[in-house]
Order: sequence, then structure tokens, then C-alpha cells
Amino acid sequence: MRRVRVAAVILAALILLTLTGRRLVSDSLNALEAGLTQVESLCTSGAYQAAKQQISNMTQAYQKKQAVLALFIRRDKLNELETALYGLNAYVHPDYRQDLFCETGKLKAQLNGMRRLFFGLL
Amino acid sequence: MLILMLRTLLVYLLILLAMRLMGKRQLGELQPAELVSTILISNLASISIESPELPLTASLVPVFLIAALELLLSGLCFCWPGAARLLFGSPVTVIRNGKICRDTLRTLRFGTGDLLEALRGKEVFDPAQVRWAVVETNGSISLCTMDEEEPFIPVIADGQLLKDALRLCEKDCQWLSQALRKEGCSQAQVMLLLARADGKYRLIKKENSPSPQKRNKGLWEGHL
Repeated sequence: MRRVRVAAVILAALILLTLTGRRLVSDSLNALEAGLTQVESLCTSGAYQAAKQQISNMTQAYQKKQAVLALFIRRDKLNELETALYGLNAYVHPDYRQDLFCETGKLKAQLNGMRRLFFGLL
Repeated sequence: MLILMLRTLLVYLLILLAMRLMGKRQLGELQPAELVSTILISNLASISIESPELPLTASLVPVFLIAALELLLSGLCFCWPGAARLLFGSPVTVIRNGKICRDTLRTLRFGTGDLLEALRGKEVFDPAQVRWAVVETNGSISLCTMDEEEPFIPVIADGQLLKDALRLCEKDCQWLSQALRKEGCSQAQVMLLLARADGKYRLIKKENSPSPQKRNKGLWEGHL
């Protein structure tokens, strides 16, 4: 019955890995979404430099976490997100505010899609 | 390309580990649940190799989950024989003393052509030559021909009475109680009791089974 004990250990490890993955992905996606909302509010209030800095911080934080997120999420989805985040900088300007909101809206929809893929049962 | 090779090597080694854990080397033929898990594992393993953009955990987590569930299921079946009967079924007699059990064949959805094919696979061309034929849970057929001695049938396994087997060897509970009283043990103490229609039996007690050196002491013939 030693193998049954091994099976119990494997199950426990898988549950731990699953819970850790869920927490990591959930926190990362929530942090990104919160960051995007902050970028929108900074642009609305006219603080474009602060918005650029926020985007830069978000991109750096995301790049640091990407290697670990790649254990749980498809690489192509992660790359798409990174490309879109990096491209936001071009719209941080008073003349392109509507375009910025459009891009942040698209990014938020991408994040929701990723949530559904990762957390959805059906 | 190098990453692809490394992923393939890693997946291969981990699948070997998972299959080794499940103990597939010990099995000559697979039960249905084991066949399902083997097919699933092979398909899951190929996902990581074919699609480098997918994370390794997408393949390895389901593979090890299936391996763990297989092991837990086998442990459950060991502890509760009823669970094994529910999941894998029981062996079924299809020929007895040369006569084909048509009702059993109908239940198994076994045609006479299928039965004859299975018999020919065992080099028997006439069902009348078969003293006993049993279809096992993995679909294979086990035979005892008229030339051979009447086989022993397990009537107690792991302390559990197999009533159908007792009926098959034309014995009843009264005979069983007499045999157990003669051997000085209760039903719960019996690991295996094999019996025959002529009254001969072989009994292995549970306390004698752990040590291989004591195996000969634990097995002796009796006759009522």
C-alpha cells in the first residue's frame, strides 16, 4: 500500500500547485486590471507623466512575473498581453485619450478572457 | 528546437515515472479503467510535445492526477472487494461441463461466433470438450478442458464469502461451516479457500500469508 501513500502525496502536491497557480494568476490579473484603471483615472485628471510611469511599472512587474505565469498560461496569450501593455505608451497624450481608453478597454477584455480560460469549468 | 527536445525528454521521463508508479509492467492485460487511463495519458503527453506554446503543467498535472487516481482506486478495490466488483465486474462462467450457458452469453452480448473464436484461441475446437470456461473481467477467456482435473474454485477470498462460487461447486453454507470448524478458523481468518465439487478443498489462513518462507506451511489440502 506504499503506492497508495505515494498517490496521496501526489494528489496533495497537485492540489497545492493548483491553489498556488490560481492565487498567482488571480493576483497578477487583478493587479494588471487595477493598474489599467489607475492609468485611465490619471489620464482623466490630466496626469499623463504619472500615467506613463504607471504603465512602465506595470510592464516591468508583468515581465518579472511572466516566467512563472508561463507555467500556467499559454505563452502566446502572455506575449499578446505584453505587446498590448507596451503599446499603451503611444496613446498617453491629451489628443489620444479616447484611443487610450479604447486600448485599456481591449486589454481589460483580454484579461477577462484569460480569467475565463483559466478559471472556467465549461 | 533545443527547447522542443528538452520538453520531449522531460515529458517522456515524467510519463515513464507515472506509468511506473501505476505498476503497468505487472499487468499482462488491462482492465477497462486502466485502458482508459493509458489512452488518456498518451494523448495528454503528446499535447506538450506538439504545442510548445502550451505550459508543461497543462499536460503533466492531468497525467499525474490520473496516475494518483488510478493508485487510489486500486487501493480502494483492495480494501473493498465490492468496489472492485462494481468497477471491474466479476468473472462469468460461459461453459460448464460441456454445456454453453446461453443466458450468460446474452448478458455479455457474446455471440456464439465470438465464443468459438475465443475457444479456438485456446486451441479448443469443440465446446463439449470444455469442463469449465470463464470470461474474465478483462474480456479474456480461461478454460479447463475435460482432460484436466476439476478445477478448484475460490469460495472465500480475503474473508469474504463468494456465494455464487459456493453454488458452482455444488456446496452449501453447512458444508462450509463444517470445513472451517475442522480447520479451527473463522471465515474472517481465511485469506483463500478453494473448493471442488468432490469435497476437496485448499485453505490459506490470513496469518500465514505475509512471510514467503512460511508459504508452504500456510497451504494444505483437506477433504470432507
